[in-house]
Amino acid sequence: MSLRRWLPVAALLGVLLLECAAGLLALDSDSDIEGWLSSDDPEQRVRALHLFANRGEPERAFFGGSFKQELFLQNEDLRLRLFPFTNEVCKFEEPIPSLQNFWVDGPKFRDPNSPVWWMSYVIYKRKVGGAQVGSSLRLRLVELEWWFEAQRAERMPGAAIHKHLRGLAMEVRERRFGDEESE
Amino acid sequence: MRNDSLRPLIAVCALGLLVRLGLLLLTGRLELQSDEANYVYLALSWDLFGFYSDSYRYLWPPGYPFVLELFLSWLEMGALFAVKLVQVLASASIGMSIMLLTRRLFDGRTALVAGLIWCAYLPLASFTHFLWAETLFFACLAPALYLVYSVLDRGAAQEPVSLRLIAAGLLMAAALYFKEVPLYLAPVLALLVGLACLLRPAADVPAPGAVEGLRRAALFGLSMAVLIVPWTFRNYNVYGRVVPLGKSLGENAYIGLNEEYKNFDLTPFSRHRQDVEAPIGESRVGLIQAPLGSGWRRAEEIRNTPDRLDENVSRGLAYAREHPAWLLRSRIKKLADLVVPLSFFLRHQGLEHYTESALGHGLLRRFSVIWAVACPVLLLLLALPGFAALRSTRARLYLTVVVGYFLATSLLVAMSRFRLPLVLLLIPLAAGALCQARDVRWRTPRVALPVLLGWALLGVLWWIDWPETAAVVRLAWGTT
Repeated sequence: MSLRRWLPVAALLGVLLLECAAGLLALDSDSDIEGWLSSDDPEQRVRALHLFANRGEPERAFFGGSFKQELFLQNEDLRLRLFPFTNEVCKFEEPIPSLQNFWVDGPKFRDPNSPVWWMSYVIYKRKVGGAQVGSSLRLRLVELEWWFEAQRAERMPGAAIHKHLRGLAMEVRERRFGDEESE
Repeated sequence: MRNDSLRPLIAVCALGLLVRLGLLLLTGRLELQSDEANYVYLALSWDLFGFYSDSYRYLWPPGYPFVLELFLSWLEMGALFAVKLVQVLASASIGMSIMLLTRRLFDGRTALVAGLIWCAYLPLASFTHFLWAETLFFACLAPALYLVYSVLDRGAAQEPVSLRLIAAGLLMAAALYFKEVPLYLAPVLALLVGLACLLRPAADVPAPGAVEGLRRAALFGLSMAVLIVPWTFRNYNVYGRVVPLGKSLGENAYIGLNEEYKNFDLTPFSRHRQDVEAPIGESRVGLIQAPLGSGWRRAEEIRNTPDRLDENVSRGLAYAREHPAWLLRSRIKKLADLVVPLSFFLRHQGLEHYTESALGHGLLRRFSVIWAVACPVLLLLLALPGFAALRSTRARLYLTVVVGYFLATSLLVAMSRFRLPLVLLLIPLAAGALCQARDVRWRTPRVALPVLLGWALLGVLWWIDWPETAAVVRLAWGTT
């Protein structure tokens, strides 16, 4: 058999080796990630948090109350502010993420007119993962529309949102809504 | 008609696209359902944070959330329609692949019939207006399966095998980016491709040999690997674990190997139709009942998602080992749930999701319900004699392996949606039954007996699921 017939195999093997080399070089080391956790660049910091929260068996203590407060209450960057509401952080909470619950449902913070509140509500309450991580119901179309309005930092239709959420709460009470599972 | 002409196939394919486009326009604005909302959420979160977030219970492959993210960041609310339109167009790949496969298995006329069945197969067509990953997944999987068969087929001796195998590998990997279910099918196919080289393509043609077999298997496997490896490195960087693309086995073990019976053709009715008896309550309890209080919980204490999912698999397997009788009974039920003539289209009708569309009312509703039930019934009944009509042993072996693989995966969690990969292969067989039946010696017991046994088994499985099927159909019909 002609060796030329093996050229495509060799080429694919070469690409694969290059990918492996590039992949290994691009791996973020634990020390890099720890360094970025306190970075001034919000993008770098939020990415570091994502890696720190997921890699290996992460340290639960790191994601305590003061960490979440610093992110949500003392940051200008939207991604950092909303990060405590993601699975990355909520999976460390037992039995449920109480501080995040307080921020989206507590009377002091609940503000349907605020775009940031609405985004935090969606990220927290509509997430994939179930009640264990704070999720309640699945995202609806009208909520998606409000998400985009919030992204444009427009004033939110607070009364409509309030009515919508009140309606959902009644639905939940009336129906056999349990933990909505992925299919 | 020339057997190698593509024109008639393209015409049928265009008809299939028109049907799907018509359905899309007819259904209008549909509320997000179940996993549709989950996919949209993952896309929103990806757009906001700039990375694919952890989804906790699953590690879904990134393909579908990525497509949604791309469109949502560009078109906002318009993205939902745009993605559905893309799905309509992408379904051309499914239709063409089914027809090309049928042409190889039988002939050009049968391929056209297969194309017409694909056009009209409502349970599959309806997925083009759902935001589930199925259509894009099949748009990659169907041509991959066709290309692999085209290499296995003895007629492939003179064809550009290398290019076909590279394309098949790339398409299979692309399919895995949407759903990782065929991950373990890929090495089996590579093995088949390799082993086929040990056989003579024809009596007067020598076998390509073991070295050529190795080359072909390597081409297919490496083509897949070059697409899979980048996301595997991403997963390793994020989780510190080697996970090729995705991992949903852990959650599926929780659902499929546990005390509580779940079937997502039925479960949403309990949640969203409080006005009626839940169809899941109609199920024959003898097959699904596990020892009370024997259920297990997810390994929530493990924070690393791949580790948690692995632990869930271990717990599921331990549960199965502890309850062998239940395992056997419940797998019979899973098989019944797989072949039951339900569909997500019927589920949508039953849950009144089409009420804002003409499809949800009057004669159109009634006709669509009848048609949605008839499609899988007819397809399954016809596929069995279609299998008997296959002339090539390689074709029989190939279809047995692929169908067997998807049957085996569905024994864990079964519902009509998981039957759809089989539909890609059952359509050619059904067309074969319609067009080739006259050439089959039905009076030979070796031919007739397996078909009759298959029909009898189907009958038993349909009887098992009859109570809940009837309940869903009644709700879809709209009389309750």
